[in-house]
Amino acid sequence: MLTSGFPSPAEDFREKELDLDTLLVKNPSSTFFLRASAEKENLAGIHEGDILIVDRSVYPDAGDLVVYCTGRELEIGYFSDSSKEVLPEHTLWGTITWIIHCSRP
Amino acid sequence: MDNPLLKTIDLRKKEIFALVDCNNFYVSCERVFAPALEGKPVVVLSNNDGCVIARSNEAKALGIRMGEPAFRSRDIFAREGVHVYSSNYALYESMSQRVMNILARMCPEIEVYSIDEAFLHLTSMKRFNLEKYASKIRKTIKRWTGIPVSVGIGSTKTLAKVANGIAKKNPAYEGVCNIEECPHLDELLGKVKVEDVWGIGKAYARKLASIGIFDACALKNASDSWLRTNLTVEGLRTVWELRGIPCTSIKTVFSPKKQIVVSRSFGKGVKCLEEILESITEYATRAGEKLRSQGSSAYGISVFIQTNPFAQGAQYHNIRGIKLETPTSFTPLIVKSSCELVEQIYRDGYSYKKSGVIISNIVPEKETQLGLFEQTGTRDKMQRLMKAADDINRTLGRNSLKLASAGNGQEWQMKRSFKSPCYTTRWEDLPKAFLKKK
Repeated sequence: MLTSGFPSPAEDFREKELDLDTLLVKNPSSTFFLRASAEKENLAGIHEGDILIVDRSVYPDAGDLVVYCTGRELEIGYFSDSSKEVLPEHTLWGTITWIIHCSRP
Repeated sequence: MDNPLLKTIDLRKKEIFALVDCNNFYVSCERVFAPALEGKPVVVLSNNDGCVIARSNEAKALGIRMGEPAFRSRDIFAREGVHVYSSNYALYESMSQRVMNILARMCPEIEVYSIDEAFLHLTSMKRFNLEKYASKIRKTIKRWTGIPVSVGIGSTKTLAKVANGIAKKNPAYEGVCNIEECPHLDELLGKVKVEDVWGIGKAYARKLASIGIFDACALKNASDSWLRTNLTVEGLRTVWELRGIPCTSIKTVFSPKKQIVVSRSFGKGVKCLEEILESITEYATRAGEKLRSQGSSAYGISVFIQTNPFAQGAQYHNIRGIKLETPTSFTPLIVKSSCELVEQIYRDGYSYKKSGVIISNIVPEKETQLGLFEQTGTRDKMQRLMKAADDINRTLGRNSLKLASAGNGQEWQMKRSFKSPCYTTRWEDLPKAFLKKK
């Protein structure tokens, strides 16, 4: 904090600077960062190399983007409420809350 | 057996402890990010890929034992398709933090006991349905982190540990066992071997076997005088705990280490002094970090080097130390002293397998007095320099800022051929999620 000889009239209104961490990560214990690997198609604006913020403590609503496990790897898809699972053999890994896309890779 | 001690316990003062313990922790950490490992035999190896330090249940079923040297199990690994991983401590520490933070949120009082175990002090909650609560803890940790845990509940820490063991081994309990609610406690204790009781190791187990005590129930009923004589007061405390009398308390205040040792075995034999000095510099630096992180300084610095006792060739090992006039936590000084010591004990012509730095005579930072010839302000400057270095290393990663003498190539580093990526601590190691064309 810089101090100066003259008190600032704005001092009483000072607010905490914006901080991405508190915006993007609501529950650090259950939040993980994943890297999207997309073949040509991009679903809901997810591009190759994007960072996905995935919160395992958030139960998805129908239509939410989620990460789920197939028998082999982690995949991205839409959550369908009708079956309460993505597909019978697949299990929910976490809900995608934010997608971070770098515009200058 | 009618134990008069039990009658005098005021039931209103009865305490309740829980032990939360992650199942096959290192393996479970790997499985969170590699779901293909679910249901498969998996092992994790120690530093230098030396021996097995974690096994999945499927690997246990194949007869692979804890501590088994890896080279001896090579055939069974290949034959049974066992997935082998080198220990990834960065990942395990990170996952452990998550589990402990969740516990800290859900419980009034927690004591972290090890990387994958914590005791909960639940006395204030004893009127609640503890099985339901424990079950909620289990489900929350599994959902939020992917790590499966077992919970044991008892009126003492030792009983909570016994309960945890029971919950782990019997699927019928669904991961939660409250030993206080079990109708046939003595019967259950009868099935627990003495060496599996916390505080009773192989040596005590042999002594107990000599008087015909093999299980926890018999142990509980053993005579106090025999116990005090043969197992010391520590052993007696363990037995009192089995009887439901708490003899240890929750340790929530961290007590700083009295001695810090940083050492590693080399991946391959090291012959030349330069490489040994590089390793010693690295360990001395790390020791300095540990010292500062606990708010301490130290008088004593020692180093040791040794050849491999199991290998062919001439054997040599030596250790030498100094006591400083004023205690320090200043890395350059620790490194300089350590290097000087190693130069004194190094002998040419040997193939060294391990080196290490030992910091002793540790005192709180605040207690250090200025040496006779020290200038005021120097210590202050040193502290600010070290704090800046520590902050940088914490943000940018271990060893971002280090002494040039620690070397760049570091040929002697640990062999860790099967290490998984640092999924949660390095951007370049993030786990991948695939978007497939449908």
